[in-house]
Amino acid sequence: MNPATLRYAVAGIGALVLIAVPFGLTEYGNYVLSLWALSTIAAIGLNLTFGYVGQLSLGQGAFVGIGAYLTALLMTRGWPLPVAYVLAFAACFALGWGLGYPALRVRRPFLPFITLAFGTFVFLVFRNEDWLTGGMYGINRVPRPSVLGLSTASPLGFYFFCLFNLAVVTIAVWWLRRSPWRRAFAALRANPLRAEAVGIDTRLYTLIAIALGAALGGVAGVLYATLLQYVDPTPFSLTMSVSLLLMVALGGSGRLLGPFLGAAAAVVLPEGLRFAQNYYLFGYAFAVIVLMALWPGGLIGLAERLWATVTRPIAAPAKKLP
Amino acid sequence: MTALLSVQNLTKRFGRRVAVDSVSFEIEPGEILGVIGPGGSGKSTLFDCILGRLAPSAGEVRLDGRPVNGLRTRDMSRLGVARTFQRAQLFPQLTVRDNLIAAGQERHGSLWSRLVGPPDAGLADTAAEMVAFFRLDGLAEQTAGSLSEEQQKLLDIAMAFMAQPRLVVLDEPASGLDEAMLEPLCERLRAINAQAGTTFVIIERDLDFVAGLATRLLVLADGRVVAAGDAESVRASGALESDDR
Repeated sequence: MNPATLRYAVAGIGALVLIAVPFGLTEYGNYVLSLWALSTIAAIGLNLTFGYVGQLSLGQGAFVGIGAYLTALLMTRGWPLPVAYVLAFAACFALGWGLGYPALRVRRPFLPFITLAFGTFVFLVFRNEDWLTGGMYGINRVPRPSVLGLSTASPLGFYFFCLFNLAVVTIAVWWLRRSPWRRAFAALRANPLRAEAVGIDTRLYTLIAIALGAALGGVAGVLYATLLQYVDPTPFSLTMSVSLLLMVALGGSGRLLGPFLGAAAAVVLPEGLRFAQNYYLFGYAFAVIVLMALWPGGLIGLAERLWATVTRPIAAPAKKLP
Repeated sequence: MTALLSVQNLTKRFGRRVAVDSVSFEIEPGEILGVIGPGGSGKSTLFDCILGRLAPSAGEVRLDGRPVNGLRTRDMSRLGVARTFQRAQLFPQLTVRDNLIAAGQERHGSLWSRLVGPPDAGLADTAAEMVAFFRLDGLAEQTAGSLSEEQQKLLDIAMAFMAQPRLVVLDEPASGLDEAMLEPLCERLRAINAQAGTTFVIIERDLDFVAGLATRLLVLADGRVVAAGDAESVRASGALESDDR
């Protein structure tokens, strides 16, 4: 089987599994799957920034938070979901661009520091500006939307709503990866000197990747607010940003399916290992260290290596020398 | 006729050190100019200033009669000026084919049209031609990082021609190449010059390689032009003997 056919086969089987699995799960199981889907969207965004153009962002959790709070503020005041989508996407895109612009004016890797400061600032706004965000009490009673007349009130219905969002984002990023943009991203990351010499606007492409990555964080926030129907500052701390970064690295940074696997390992796996209690965290940390040390390509890289080993043709016996 | 490239009194200082000292020259369309000089004579610095990689301390650069001082490297690329590097500068994780397409894609369409347009930016055929022209047959789907040093050098040169440039600056194209490859490379450069009318600047230490190719030579030493003219007059001037080139 050639690699392209294999990829399409894996995508098709994966899609069927994601459609079929929730029917055999409890309501809580579907809630966890929804959380996985929205985390995957946030991780796909961070993968654009970190995996494709090599810029380390420590503010993805803040962008998810901005999307979530915007949605909560708008939808509790009667605004429809599409308005929340557009505003969350546009606000996070603009903020991502605004943070990336000064960071790229200096040669040193400045983005991690700027996004770290930004994430802390956003968290403090969520926590302290009671008049707007409700402070530590947050905002509750965020309504679940109806999409094209279909209710998303049930956990199963909401999961399919999340899955639809994930499918749209995945197709969009797949399209971007097949376009010349992917080549420009890879070129500026590998060799900015040559990239500029062949006319690639390295700063513009990098800013686009940072801003799009942030905007996808905002989209994940829209889903987060409507999934939990409640937002408070606690989840949107640095921990979420680091966790999303881990998902990207663990799954395989720069790979389309990496965030899917990384988010599964970070969101779904702990639910299956609850019996291990806190020992799970030791195991998780150990697994991450081993994986990163031995297979820097992440779970996707590991899977590819195993597949190559399995499908490698058996070497013909050496001919005797005359 | 307006010179394609005109450089007037270009100077580059690094602190107190003068790397390029008031250099002036012109290149006519279709010309092949050889720039020779020993290591540290200011050849690469001069062209780094002309091509926007370094800001000149003084002087003026004109392309088609229009001043281009202060333009960035990518702007010069969009004006039809391409370059190669002393050490091959590639995108090692991309395939040979993708390296070639990446080198030409930004000259085609807008940012948006590149997103919605064909994945190969319409350059697949040109890339295939370059692969064949520069003897990289059978390597199109290999990653650039897996090529031999010589193949990487050829790919580096091939990339410069992907955007159909008017002026190509080749920085020490012969270095790293096997002796047997030099004459075929010269033939290919002559063919491009004759067929497409592409103008060349060839920066080299080795007079022998440049002399057979260039229509005119410029000799640099200590950042200054010490001789100019055809190969015979440059040899006769004695400028090449001073440092045993």
